[in-house]
Amino acid sequence: MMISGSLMPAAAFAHHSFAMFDTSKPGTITGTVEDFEWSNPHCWLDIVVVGSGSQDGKWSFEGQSVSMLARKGWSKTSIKPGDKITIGYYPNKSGSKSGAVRTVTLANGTVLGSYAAAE
Amino acid sequence: MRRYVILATPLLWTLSCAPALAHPDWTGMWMPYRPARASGVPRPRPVPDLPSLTPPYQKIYDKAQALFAKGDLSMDKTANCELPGMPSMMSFDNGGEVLMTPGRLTIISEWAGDVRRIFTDGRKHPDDLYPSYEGHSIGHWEGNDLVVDTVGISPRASLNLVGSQQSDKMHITERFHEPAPGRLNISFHIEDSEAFTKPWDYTVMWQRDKDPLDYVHEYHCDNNRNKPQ
Repeated sequence: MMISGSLMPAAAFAHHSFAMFDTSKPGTITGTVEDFEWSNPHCWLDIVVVGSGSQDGKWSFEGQSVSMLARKGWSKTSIKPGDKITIGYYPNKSGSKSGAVRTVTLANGTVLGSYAAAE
Repeated sequence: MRRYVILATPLLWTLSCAPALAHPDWTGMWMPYRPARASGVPRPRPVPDLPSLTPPYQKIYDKAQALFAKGDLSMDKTANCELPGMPSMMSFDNGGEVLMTPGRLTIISEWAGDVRRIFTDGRKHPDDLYPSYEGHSIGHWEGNDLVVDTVGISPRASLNLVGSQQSDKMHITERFHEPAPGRLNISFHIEDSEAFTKPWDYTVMWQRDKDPLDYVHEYHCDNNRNKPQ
């Protein structure tokens, strides 16, 4: 079923346009968690990447709101500084080391999803 | 004479209650309705149609777009923890609860915990309306559709997610229609003689929450970061 231009389901990131992220280029990246902010209007994940050449450095990823991620099984204690995780993301079009979180795979293999992953 | 009164009382009671009983009951938790997509095809982003703006308001929109392109969300009010207000609070991503009680329909949008009340008790808009994020809403039933008229919306409310701005003359008409059990389409007709060159029409789609235990979660906005790093 196609959505006509006049029908407007809610955006996955309700508080601003998703246009800043390139949904045609989903990527994955592995790093060590520096900070996990469980907060509104967005959760944030900062990771440090090493040994990946030009991708090395600090990356910041924007997640959905607390309640949206809670509905997908996340909690404040799901991710802790020092954890090694793999993030599935949509990159920021600006080319900066940032993006929108689609999924997080924890070291034990647990996958935390999000509504953004369905976009 | 007394006998007639006794007979008439239950009849009046029945007549006064019948319309209320005939209305659909939308009480409960609702989520955005997302039509299925074809396998392997990315879902098209729900980019809302933009209202056609008058030159001063087009200038505001252009300025916001230029900032957004640089990752600066300073002109996105909800990114800075203001209430979304009308009409954007109805385009929620997080879900919302509808409460139908005598004389009013209350919507608790999980997005920033914004709450609006639609009075269905026949009252009019007050003359001395003080602008608010949600405005003042009065509704009446047309068959099984609820038609709602809203005025008195503060310019601080967010029109949409892309930086358009409205004036305090904005006037919103909504039609709540249940196209199928468990679905609600809310058709918006928005006029603003100062900011829009013509009315803006679009439809927001909801579906009943599939999780029977779900509820409106707390949404404390603390403006953790207002722009991507």
